[in-house]
Amino acid sequence: MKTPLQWIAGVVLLMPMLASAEPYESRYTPLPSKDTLFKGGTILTGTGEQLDETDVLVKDGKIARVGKDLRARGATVIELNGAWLTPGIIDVHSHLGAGGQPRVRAHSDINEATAPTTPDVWVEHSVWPQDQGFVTALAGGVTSLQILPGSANLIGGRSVTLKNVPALSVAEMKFPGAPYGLKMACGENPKRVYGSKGRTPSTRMGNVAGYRAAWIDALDYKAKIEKALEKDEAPPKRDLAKETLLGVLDGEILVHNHCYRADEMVTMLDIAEEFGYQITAFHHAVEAYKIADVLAEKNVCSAVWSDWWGFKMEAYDGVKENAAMLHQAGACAIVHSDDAHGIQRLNQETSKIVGAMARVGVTIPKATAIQWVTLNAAKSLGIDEMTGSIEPGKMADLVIWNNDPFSVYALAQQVYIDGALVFDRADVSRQPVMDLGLGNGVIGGGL
Amino acid sequence: MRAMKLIGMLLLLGSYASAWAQVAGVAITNAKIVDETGIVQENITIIMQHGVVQAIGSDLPIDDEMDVVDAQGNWVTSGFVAASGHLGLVEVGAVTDSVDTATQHRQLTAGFKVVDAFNSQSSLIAIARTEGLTSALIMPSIRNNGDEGSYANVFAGTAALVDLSGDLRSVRVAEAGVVASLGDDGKDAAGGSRAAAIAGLRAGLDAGRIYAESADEVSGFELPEPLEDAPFSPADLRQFAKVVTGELPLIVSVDRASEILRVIDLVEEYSIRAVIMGGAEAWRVAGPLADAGIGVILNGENNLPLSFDHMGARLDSAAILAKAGVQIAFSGENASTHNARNMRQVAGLAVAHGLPWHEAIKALTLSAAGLLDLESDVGRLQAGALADLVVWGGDPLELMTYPTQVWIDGQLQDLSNRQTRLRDRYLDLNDPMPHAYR
Repeated sequence: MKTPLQWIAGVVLLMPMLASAEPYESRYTPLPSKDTLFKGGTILTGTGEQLDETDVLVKDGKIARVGKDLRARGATVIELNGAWLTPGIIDVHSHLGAGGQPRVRAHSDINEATAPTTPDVWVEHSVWPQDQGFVTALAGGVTSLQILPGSANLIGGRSVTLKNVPALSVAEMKFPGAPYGLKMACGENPKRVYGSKGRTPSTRMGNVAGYRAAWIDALDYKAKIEKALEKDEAPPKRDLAKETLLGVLDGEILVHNHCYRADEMVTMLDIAEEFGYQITAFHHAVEAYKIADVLAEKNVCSAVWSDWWGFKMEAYDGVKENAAMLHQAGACAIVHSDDAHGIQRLNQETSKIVGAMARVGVTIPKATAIQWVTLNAAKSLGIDEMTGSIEPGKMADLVIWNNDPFSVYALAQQVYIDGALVFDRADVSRQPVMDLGLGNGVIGGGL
Repeated sequence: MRAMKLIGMLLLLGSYASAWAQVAGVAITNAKIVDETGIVQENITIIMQHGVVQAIGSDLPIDDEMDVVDAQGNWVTSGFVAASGHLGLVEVGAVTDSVDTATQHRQLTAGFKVVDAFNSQSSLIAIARTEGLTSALIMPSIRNNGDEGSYANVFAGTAALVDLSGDLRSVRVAEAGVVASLGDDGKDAAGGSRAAAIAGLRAGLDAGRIYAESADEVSGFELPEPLEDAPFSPADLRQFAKVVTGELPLIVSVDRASEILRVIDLVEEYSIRAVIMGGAEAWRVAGPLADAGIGVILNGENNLPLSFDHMGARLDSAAILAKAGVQIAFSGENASTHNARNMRQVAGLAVAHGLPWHEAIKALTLSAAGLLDLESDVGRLQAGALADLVVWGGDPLELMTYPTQVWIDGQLQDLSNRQTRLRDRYLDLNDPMPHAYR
């Protein structure tokens, strides 16, 4: 029979695993939806297939069947006439809400840049659900997205994965059942931010000492809890920062590590090995193509841009083919935005990469490339069993396009989340505009 | 020994032959072209010689000595003109030593001429050229002197037009326009209010008038008496005078509709030429802009309320402006300087939202040069124009299309760049030798 103290200590130790029973859990409920039969589409499944003249049946918000000549009584029929249908686009790197529009100081909540290591903060507490940027992202086909703390800090805090639906509290946007992420950042940003304040870190070696100190502190805390448990003593006071780090070490919280340079990514992998955790994804990873074989071997995803480069020294060696070269090497490639404008056209960013790679005689099928912004993205967020592809049993997070999504002329015509029509370019009643825009001239409608 | 001589002779003949071909001219055949009104013509021949387009038409006679390029029915356009950004003025954004877009010096505003800092050897130039850009307007940036704001600071400097050949000498127009910023940036530069920024514009133009009128009486550092206490240097005054006399246009960065109207009023009051940059809410005053003959270098990706100046931003702005008869060129959020190549994507986005395709091509070519009425015959596909041409592998606006040939001043350009070399070095990671040897 455990003593109350032992019980408390046990709960504290298991805290990350009890996330689903905690406050702050998701209170998302899907918008109202109807069973829908999408007929005769050009389907990019997200699993690597392109299915022409194929139907998708959605029932109770889930994908029920994918095939030819489907029939369903009671379902609303939408004739696609060859229109392209893809899984909802997923952006794994966004700061929407945490840096909301308008971009004024009052809305600047992305970086808790008052200490270099802040695993205690959770970015969801900075997310303003009423950011108009969510709406324009939705009109770009984005159905789920990860909001991250910024990269001023070595360890920036917990990230959060959201369903892209208008809501009044972030809990109503939180993706049900999604794990948390932890934002880490290497390279120029932390050492510039703190070095300019005359504090550590001010060098890359200072960065590394900082990460290692944080993990050491976390393990020390864990040891103290275990010891208290053994000895039937009061556990140490709850420490939000160390709880989050322990969640990573326990494999519950996924590491998303902003890092540009090849050598620094290798160093971060070494640190991960020292403390026994997995880096789920490097973000930005401008030089990932140089170590694509290493990343493939270590099973680390890279979330990259198509073409951002040259704004910092660590971004000087960017190439458009980055994601494609990663893919060729068998590594997990993801295309992200880190930008409220870029998020609206992730399908186009993917297309640019395919087009660039074609010039060296490597043609990557659209059905494959689309995975970089659907299933691969979902995998890195730990939600790939629930969404990210058009497969029976998964959430009906879908986009109907008005053109081939790899075309510069393509626009999302309709966007569905859990089978509910959340955006319709042709129906004003399905074109959300956030409160900021009322009486202020903000244009909606996907414009 | 004889073999060596023979090889030597053949090499010499070869180089003569290509030089001769340059002299004799180049004919691009089987081209598809579109004009400003949208009329498409196929099976067109374009003849270039001495750096200039000599003739465009069907069934043109082709000299035997000419180099013939078969465009195979593909689109051929005038080279695209970057209408904003800082090509050649910055290498790495965060490395201040490599950035020459602004000066903090209080006594140098309009007189800050970016042409004097242009680095034709910047790696960014070839990267833009690879995707069909052949020339670029390069702009000064406004500085922010914070508390020391003087309303003179609304003037950023004087822009230039360069070509993207990467040749040591590639400046086309040393002074293309005087750049000023209103909006959020201008207000900060002017010490805290948009009204101060407008006052700053007026002060510069008023000083320019006085200087222009007294031009015969002063020289060098000597100032006309009324200007002795003005917060402007002689270099600045000379540029203001050029704006006031119509020699140079004023290029103003501004987004808010009501502020754009103030600019239109000033243009009429001072009888100057002007172009708007950014223009998030320009669509609201499309009619007045068209009436005043003021063009817009439109940020075609603007659709978020980034500030209270951008509330009306919308992706169909280009379509609205073009329909009202406003001449447009494009800038973007990620479409200048390092990614000037993305102008094509911004243009495509405008077409997706209702801009006619040929208007988009016009905006990318005739564009900036036409807006500023520059003497340089840039961006036109017609006899007499500079031979800046691009042979495309598909729709020039499409994301997967690339140029197959880029010509600048009638010279065929190298389409490799630093990034293609990096790509090639790392395409195959299976190499026992380190990357640095590849």
